[in-house]
Amino acid sequence: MSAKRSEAPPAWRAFTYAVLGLYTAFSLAPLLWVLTAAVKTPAEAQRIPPTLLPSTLHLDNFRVAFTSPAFGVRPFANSVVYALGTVLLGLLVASLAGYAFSRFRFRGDRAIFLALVLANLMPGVAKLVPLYLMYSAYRLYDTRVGLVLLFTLGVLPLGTWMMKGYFDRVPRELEESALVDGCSPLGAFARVTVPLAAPGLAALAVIAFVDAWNAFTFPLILTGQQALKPYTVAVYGFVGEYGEVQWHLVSAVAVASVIPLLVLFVVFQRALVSGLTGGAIKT
Amino acid sequence: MAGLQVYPTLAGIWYAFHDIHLARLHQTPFAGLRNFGHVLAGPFPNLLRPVAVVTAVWVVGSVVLQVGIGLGLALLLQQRWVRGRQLFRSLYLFPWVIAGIVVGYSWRFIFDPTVGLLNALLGVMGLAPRPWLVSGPLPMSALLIAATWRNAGYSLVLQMGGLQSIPDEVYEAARIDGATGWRLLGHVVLPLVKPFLLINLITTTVEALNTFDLVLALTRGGPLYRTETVALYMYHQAFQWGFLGDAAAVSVVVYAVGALLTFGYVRLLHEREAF
Repeated sequence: MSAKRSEAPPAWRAFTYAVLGLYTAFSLAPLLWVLTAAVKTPAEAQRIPPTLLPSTLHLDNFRVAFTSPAFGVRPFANSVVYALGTVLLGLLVASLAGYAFSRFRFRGDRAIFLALVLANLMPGVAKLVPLYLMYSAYRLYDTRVGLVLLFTLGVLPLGTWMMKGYFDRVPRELEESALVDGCSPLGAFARVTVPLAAPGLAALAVIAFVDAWNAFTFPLILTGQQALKPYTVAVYGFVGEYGEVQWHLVSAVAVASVIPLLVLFVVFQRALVSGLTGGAIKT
Repeated sequence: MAGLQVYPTLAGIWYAFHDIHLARLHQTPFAGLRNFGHVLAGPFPNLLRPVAVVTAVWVVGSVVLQVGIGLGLALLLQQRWVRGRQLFRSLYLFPWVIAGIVVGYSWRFIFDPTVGLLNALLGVMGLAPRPWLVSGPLPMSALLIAATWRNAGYSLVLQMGGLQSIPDEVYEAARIDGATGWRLLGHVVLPLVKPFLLINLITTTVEALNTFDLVLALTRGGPLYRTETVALYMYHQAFQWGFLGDAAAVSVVVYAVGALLTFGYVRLLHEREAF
């Protein structure tokens, strides 16, 4: 619409770009601040007032953080295991459940679907106490399986809802023609339906990874031994151990934790955005 | 699966009416409404003072700032002549994928009175440093700024989705009818993105009621419980002081408030649709 183009007065355009630019600065400043702090020497990091730009590129902070007995590599390794486990289990269960809700009508299907959606709307913190007691009783407290199970449960409501939406858009006729060509129903699901819903799976995988990677509250309450703690809980303990916070080391850990997220975000951004809004369109 | 989602909820309601303490998990005498009495009118800090007030400011502030800024930026970005739309969207959304605990610590670092970025910037501009996070309304403002930084991008993406769902013909028709600027926004655009606003209000409200890691990292509920939101209060009751029954009673209240707010949003946005 070329008419629209000429409709916007120059002052309004300048205002628009000024606002967008200011918000860009607001979005970027904290990221850059932590990134630059992570490469300052300990002496420079403690200088008052602080330097805005680091005078060195001191990568030793990463080595110190990752070899320190108070932090180390272990928490990140744990987080990787939890996040990948959640992605695998979440994709499997959410796509099967989403497919069932998309294709079959069964007794109480709407009620179960509604329960899933409503459970998602309820504050998770409210479930802390019952989950703690339940996990203690069923020996899931302080186990890797217990955490992955819980993270998976966390992404299932949104995941099932999202996958149902993607499966709804795959025409039934395609599956039927696969059946006519001699595929088993499961074969048709795996070879025809799932590949067509791939963007949904990608979006769900990113959301599951991010959720499990960032989880803090449940692992804080539901793990006891140091060896099982993810990086989020470890960084909480790390900051708590010093009266004076060693911000250059905390920053190094923060930067390390953001790198996998940045990679996923850049690669899967389109899938993530379409997943977020695709879920909303369905309501 | 649905059972695993529902069980903790039902169990939580049961615990709310029993006297259960972290130190003796196997004795759980029936307590009637005593837990509710404790949390509502017990010793400071209790649910009414100051937790409810703090939580109300926190939830309302979060919703207004995040949904407002998200919608505002979406409207600006969605104008046809804007260049670099995808890049802006990516930059605004990225903080949303960072862990709450990391966001909380990053902002505590920024607000640090001696080595923080904010006072350094004030110094560069020739202004006196301020004790952020220490007194008055500043700690809550700091929390709201950090939460907005993290979550406004999510609202933005949702609202851009809403705006993109409006067909071009609608704008064309409205333009022919002479609707421009604010009237176009109020009478055409906003009513059409209502479902997106609804889901955004609900998710942002629940997220705010739920936020624990960011608050714990940034202010720990302090100073003097000035940022003790209901999520932190529940955690402190249960796992710092051991009153699991009291915490469960709080969680029942939170459930009820969350459900009421959700119901309220649905009513509000659907009734207006009838006009």
